[in-house]
This record gives sequence, structure tokens and C-alpha cells, in this order.
Amino acid sequence: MKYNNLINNINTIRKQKGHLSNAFFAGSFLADSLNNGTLKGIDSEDLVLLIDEKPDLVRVYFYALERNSLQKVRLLLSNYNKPIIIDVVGKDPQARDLANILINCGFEEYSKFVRMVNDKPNMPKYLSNSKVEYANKYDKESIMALLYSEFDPLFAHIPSQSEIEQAINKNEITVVRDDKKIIGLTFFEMISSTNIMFRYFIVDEEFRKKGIGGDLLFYTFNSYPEAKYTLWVGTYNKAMQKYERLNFKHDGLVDYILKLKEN
Amino acid sequence: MEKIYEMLIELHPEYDFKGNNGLIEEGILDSFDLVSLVTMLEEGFDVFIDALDILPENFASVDAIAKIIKKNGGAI
Repeated sequence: MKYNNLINNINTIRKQKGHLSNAFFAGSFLADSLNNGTLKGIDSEDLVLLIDEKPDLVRVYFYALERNSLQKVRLLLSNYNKPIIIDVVGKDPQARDLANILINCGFEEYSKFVRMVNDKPNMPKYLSNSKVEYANKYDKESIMALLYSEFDPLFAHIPSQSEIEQAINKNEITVVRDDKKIIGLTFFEMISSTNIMFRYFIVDEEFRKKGIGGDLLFYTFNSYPEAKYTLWVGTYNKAMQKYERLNFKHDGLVDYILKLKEN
Repeated sequence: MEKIYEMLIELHPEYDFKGNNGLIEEGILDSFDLVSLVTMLEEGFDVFIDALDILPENFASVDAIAKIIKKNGGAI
């Protein structure tokens, strides 16, 4: 395996007490991603960086022997001319501590998300009785455009066209249309028949406060009444309170999104 | 085995883990849980789990977890 040295170095670092990491890969995913080039490794003695280069950003995962090892991140990534983003996911205070270490190494807090779960959703009360339907293969580009219009690609993990296509094929995207235009959607992932992760939930700004969001959520909750629902929500807006009204509760997991400051 | 159950219950007190062979497939343990569990297992059983052994099938059940601990020299 061409990435043997990299894996050995990751293991050497992981064996050390007090090592730091933001990576949460299954071994098979790590091996496949390195093999097919989705992830690129940068290996230095006390720091391994795994680079996931996207069209709009560079997302970085790391295994660091100690906090000072992270001082090298900027130098090791100096060839990349895109925003450099590190996600730190975990429970506080550990996640906050790791985020602070990165802030001391030249990063700034760009955004913060919390995970919310719900195993007994309250049905939305405000509905417009719009027709909710599954997206079809011709909706791919409209869905992508709506995602980009609503979310900042630096933190939204916006899916590729092929991921959207797969989700359409698995009936994981529902839409509401005005004439033919998509004006709202839910994009979810069926982790299992009783475990659903909402990835995106959008109503076009022009069509908000009409009950369309309620229709979309009602459709999903009604389709899978026994499921536990999970979603990530930004702490920078009032969406969290809206989800709390539907009985979503913060489960303690946070995601600090850190951006390397420009020189 | 009891120690493994205790660790799983610490992560998810709401689940009954006994006899469940679909901890990953059913989404009871997600990738974030897996990272925490690996750390707990390594510290609790004084073993090291290779990065490439952190596979869904090795954490699908308590028996599978026990097997990976034993493979790495841990005493169950």
C-alpha cells in the first residue's frame, strides 16, 4: 500500500498520550480515500495532515503529537490558495479546548454548530398544504443552486452533483414547487429505517412564513413516524429555537468551524 | 464483557446493547461515538487499535468489540 508510511505515522502519533486529532474516520474510509486520492496526506514527524480539497475550500484533518505540532499547519499548507477550514467536533469542554489550541495556532472561529436529536417530533402546526414530492433526476441543478444560495460552502459540506443524484435515487430529497421552480426542500440521509439525519432544510427566502417548511417537515415526520431525527444547526441564528419547538434537543455534540486567518 | 457494556452505556444510556448486532448499521453508534469508544477501549483495556482496524464490522456488537480487544492483546 502506497500510504503505509502515513498510516504508520498516524498510529505512532495515536499511541502517544495527549495526542490531538479532529479525525473520525473508519479505517476502510481512510484507506479508500487515500488510495483514490480523495484525501491527500502531508506527513511530518509529529504531525499528519489529511487534506480534503473541495472547489471552494480545503478541509483539513490532523493527527498531532502535541499542541505545538499544530504551529506547523500554516507552513505545511502554504501552497493552497483557498480558505483552509478545520472542523472540531466533540463535546465541551474538550472540543472548546482543542478549538482554542487551533486559535492560538493562527485559526479563527468562523462558525459553531450544535447537534440536535428528536425521537418524538411535535408535528408542525403552521402548514400551507403545498404538494410535497420526491425530487427527480432533472432537479439536480436546481437543488445545487438552492443549497449555494442558502448556505455558506465553508461550513455547509455542500454535496457534489453525484451525491445529490444518489440521494434523489434513494428518495432522500423532498421538494415543494411553485409552478416548476423548487422553492423548498428537505435533504435527509436514512442511516437506518429508524435513524434519519436531516442534512439540509430550506425554504426559498421569498416563500417563507407561509407554512411551506411545516409541510416539508410534516411529510417526513409522517412518512417515518418511528424514526429518531438528527440535525446540525448553526448557533448564529434563531433556527435552534424553531427546532426546539418541534421537540429537538441539543445532545451535547458541538462543531467548531475554524478558518486559518489570512496573513 | 461487562466493562464493554459499561463503556457503551456511558456513551448511550438510552440504549439496551445486549444482543444487538447492528450498533453501527442501525446508527446507534456514529463516527463521533466510535472515536470516543476507541479511546475508552484503549485506555480501559490497555491496548492499541490500529487506525485501519477502526472498521464498522469490528464495532457492530459487543462480541465484535471483545474480539478486536483480544486481537490486540487485551484481556476480556
